[in-house]
Amino acid sequence: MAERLVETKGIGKNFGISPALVDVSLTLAPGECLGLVGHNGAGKSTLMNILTGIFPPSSGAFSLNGRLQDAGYNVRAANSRGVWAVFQELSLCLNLTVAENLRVFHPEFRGWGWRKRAGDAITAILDEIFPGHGIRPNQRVETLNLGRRQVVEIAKAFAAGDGLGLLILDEPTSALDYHTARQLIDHLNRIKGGSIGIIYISHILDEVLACTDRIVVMKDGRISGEVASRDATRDRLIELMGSKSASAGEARGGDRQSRDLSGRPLLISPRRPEEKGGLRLTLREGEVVGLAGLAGHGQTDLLIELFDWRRNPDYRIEGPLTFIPGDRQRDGNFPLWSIIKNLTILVYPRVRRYRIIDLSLERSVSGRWRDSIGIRAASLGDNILSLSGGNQQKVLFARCLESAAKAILMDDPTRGVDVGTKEIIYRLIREERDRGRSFVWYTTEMDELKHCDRVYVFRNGSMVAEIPGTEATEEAVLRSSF
Amino acid sequence: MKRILLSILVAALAVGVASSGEKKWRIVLSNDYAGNSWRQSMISDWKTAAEMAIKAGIIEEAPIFTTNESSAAEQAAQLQSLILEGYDAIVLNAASPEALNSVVQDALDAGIVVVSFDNAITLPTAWRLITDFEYMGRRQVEYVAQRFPQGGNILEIRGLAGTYVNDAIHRGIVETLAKYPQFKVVGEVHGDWTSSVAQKAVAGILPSLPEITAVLTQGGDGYGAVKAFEASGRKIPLVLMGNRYDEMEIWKEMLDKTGYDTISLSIAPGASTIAFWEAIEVLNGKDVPKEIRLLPYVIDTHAKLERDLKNTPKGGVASIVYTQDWVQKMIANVKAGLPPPPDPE
Amino acid sequence: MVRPLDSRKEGLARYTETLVPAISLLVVLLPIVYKQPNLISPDRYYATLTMTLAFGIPIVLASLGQMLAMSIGEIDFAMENLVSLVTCVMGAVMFKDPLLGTAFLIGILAVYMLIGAFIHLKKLPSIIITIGMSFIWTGLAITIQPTPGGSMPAAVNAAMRLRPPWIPYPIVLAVLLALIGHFLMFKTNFGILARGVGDNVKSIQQAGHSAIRVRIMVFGLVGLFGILSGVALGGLTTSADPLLAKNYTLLSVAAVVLGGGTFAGGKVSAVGAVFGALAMHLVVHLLVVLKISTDWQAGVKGFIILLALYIGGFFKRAGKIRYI
Repeated sequence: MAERLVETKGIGKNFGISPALVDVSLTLAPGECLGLVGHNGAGKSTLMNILTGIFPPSSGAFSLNGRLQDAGYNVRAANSRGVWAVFQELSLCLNLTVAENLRVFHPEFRGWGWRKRAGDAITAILDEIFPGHGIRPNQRVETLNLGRRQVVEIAKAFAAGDGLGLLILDEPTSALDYHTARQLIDHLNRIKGGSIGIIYISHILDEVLACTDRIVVMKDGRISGEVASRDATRDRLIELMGSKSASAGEARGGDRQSRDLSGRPLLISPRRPEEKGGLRLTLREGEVVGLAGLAGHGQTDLLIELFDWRRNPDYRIEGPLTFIPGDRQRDGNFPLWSIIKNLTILVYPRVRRYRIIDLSLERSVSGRWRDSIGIRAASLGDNILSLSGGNQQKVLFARCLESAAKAILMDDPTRGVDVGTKEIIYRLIREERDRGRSFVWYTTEMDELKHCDRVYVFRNGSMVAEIPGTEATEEAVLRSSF
Repeated sequence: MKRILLSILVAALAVGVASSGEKKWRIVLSNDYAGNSWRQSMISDWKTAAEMAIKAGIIEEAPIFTTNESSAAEQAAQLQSLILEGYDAIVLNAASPEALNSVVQDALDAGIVVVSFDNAITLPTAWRLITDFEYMGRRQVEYVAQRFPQGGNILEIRGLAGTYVNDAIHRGIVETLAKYPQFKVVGEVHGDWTSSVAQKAVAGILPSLPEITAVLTQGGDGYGAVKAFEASGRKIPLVLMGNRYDEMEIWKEMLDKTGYDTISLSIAPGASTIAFWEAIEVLNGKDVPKEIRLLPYVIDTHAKLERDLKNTPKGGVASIVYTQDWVQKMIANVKAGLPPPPDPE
Repeated sequence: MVRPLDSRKEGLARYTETLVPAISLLVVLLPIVYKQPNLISPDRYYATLTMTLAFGIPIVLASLGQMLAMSIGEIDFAMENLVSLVTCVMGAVMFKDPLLGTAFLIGILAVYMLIGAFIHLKKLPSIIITIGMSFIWTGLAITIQPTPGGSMPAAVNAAMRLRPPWIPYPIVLAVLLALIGHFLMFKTNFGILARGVGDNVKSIQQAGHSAIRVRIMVFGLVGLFGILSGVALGGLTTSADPLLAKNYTLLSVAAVVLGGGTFAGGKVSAVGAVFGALAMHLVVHLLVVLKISTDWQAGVKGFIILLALYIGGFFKRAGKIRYI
């Protein structure tokens, strides 16, 4: 075993003329867990794409186990040299079963009885890392919710077994609930010090602090700092990331006062009185209601049910409503359309003149949002996918806020979004709330519950507790979740 | 292997055939296409004849089944279904002259009378009314040669590529033209027997053509050809017509205006009624030759033109509903080696 | 601790997936059986079923080919032209010169594989390429067999007329083909990769698999099933005809969709496609049995297909998931 599992020397990468990575040098020893943090667009994913062979660097070089990687380095070569990655945008084929996905990525599962062997292998890994996962190997991935898909994605990387040398986890917990994320972090802590080197990328700094040995901070394509995890603090990291919202720490809990909304009209109310074993949701004008609990316990199902507001059998709903989906790649974006078209799709009657879409009106609406929430795009006419994930999410928010919807349903809208963007989203929600707009907000981040007036906690498909926002602490939610 | 199949089939259908001795006949028309005026006339003529026969107590029913867009594979499946339904006779306008042979043989083996007409099949064990399509080509060239003994340039409009009829008419034209070397075919387009297609095709090729003396057609395409020449501002050559209403009408118009003359010929859609009565003859145990040749119906006098124009509905084709008497006479004539009797009025 | 919330839904989904195409088939089949009880009578079922289903086999084969194309999100719009061409190759070439005929068929396979490569390399939609190919196939067919005719090799005729004991031959073939198709799509590495490419090419490539290889193989198999369909159709009709398989393209697409396949996302079912193909085939019989007036037949045919799709889909009702 080489002393250095990974060593990059002066790696740079340009997309067109804009540099995404500049002179990045870092090392990783076997058994070490390295945290990598930074804003969206800081270059973390670019660096990981180079390490996993998705594209080559424009300049510089890197070596694995002391062996310099040549021009022919690609994903296959990376895998065969023990490099496996779990990316935020999942790489699973939804129409295949869990076992079939394993086979796609691990050619050793072939020959007679591979289905059983692959199924046993993934089940063993799942049982070890995520006990109680409830995933069966012959289940098609599309029947799993986002959180379980992410769990499969993680397990898939571990299925390399002894062949696993370097494991890259890029936002592995973004779709996981607190409990499952904790299981992963515990597992990482268990295998630390073994033979596997781990690079852990996350926006959730507490997780990074909890499971890494060392943290590298990136900013604008460069390494802006490096600290040992035991010496680091949240604020220190945020400072190194150079965020404008370095004061985020202060803002925490700052909004925590209860507001009396009892006089406001009801937007959502149950048609029938509450049933045994499950609460019913109510929503008043100008109210922010949070949905919490372990991921995948019915929060998204409720949002989808509410979204069918015109003929809802269970709730009386004052529409219209809009929806910010959790999986923006699949359900939120129109991937072939420009930023402008994506932003104005809900309000197209308002950007028309003589019933024909007016390009200049579209542009002015989009331009207003770009300025107010800082959508970072070269041109608003560019394709939506040219934006980073956080900026795509801003466009989705702008789309819904521009609409006439009285209430906005949000399915974990800050998943995989950087701290700066999150702060903008929180600000928008506060402003809109004060203007009388309401929100139903499913979040997997305990921190975000403090922005809510009331919080419903889910367990096994139904709401089991209602907590005032002022009391919605991590502890209180967890108590109700189990 | 085939014998086993046959015996099974015969056994399977024996009951239906045996019990049909006393009852009225059930006859069916299996048709491959209904999407043009000729076929529509054919269908309505068939219905007319069927009504006559039902009133006369000869048959019980005579439904029509049409496949989508002339699909031979579909028609084969349809025929199998008709066999199983136990019809006494199947009259067939086939999507393919060859592809249905094996299924038709199955039907014959099951004791079902099969009469094919228009697009006839090649199976010699079935009764076949064969239109002399070569004659259609031959007659056209002979007429042109008689009108223009000095010769000239010819444009040929063909039918749907890859079909038997298209090939047969073309063959008749080519073989006869060989006898008249003073004519030269300077262009050839596919009009698919459809006026609009022919007009587009002719308009497309016209600019590259020298002066045209005559346009040989296959029916349904004459009107489009005249319109294409008209639009190009060129002198309208001799265009052979195909008995469609629009073709007869434009001929009449030009005849009245400029004395323009031509002939019009096509197989009469009423051929379906010849096949209908022939099937009944066979069912009644008469000896009917397996192969009977039908000549196309030619409008070569102005009197005929006037009459057919009057009798044909707009958008239809000049046609004749043949009677049982006429068909019986025709069969007798054929057996005696005589030409067919004159068309009924 | 965490109850698998999806398990019930998922079990139901799997159950309906095979059921839906079967129901669609029953929608078409039951009225036929009602009107023609011979189909289930112990003495006659063999002969009547053989006859009723025989011409379904080439449609089943063409539909399996189309299913393969649709599994990677492509479509073969030249299916009917290919099938017709193959009958011409069999009738005009294979009959006289088996070597040349075989070479011809291998050539067709090679062209299909090239189409797969071309679609990958040029990122062109298959619909464009295959519509172009449809003219080429028909042109070739008319060249080698200008008018219908020709004779099939005796072996082909015999192969389509086998009479196994008890179970009618078309049913034996349909079951066999459903099993082969299912094995190919769901039990082999190739099938997994093909469906994977249909859903998420990028991740298949990132897993180190060659997407171009998958596409070449898929289109090679599309060609192979098309060829088999042509051979079967030629054997049944004992003739070659450049327009013989008219409508097969749309029939095969409809069969795949009726069988639960989708145009994108790599979702296909071989068993469903076989059911769907037989249903599409039986519609012709249903029209005869129902004695629809000839003026209405085309419309009623469309209506029956929609009805079969609707009644099948009625049992599916995947839930009311909508997104903005």
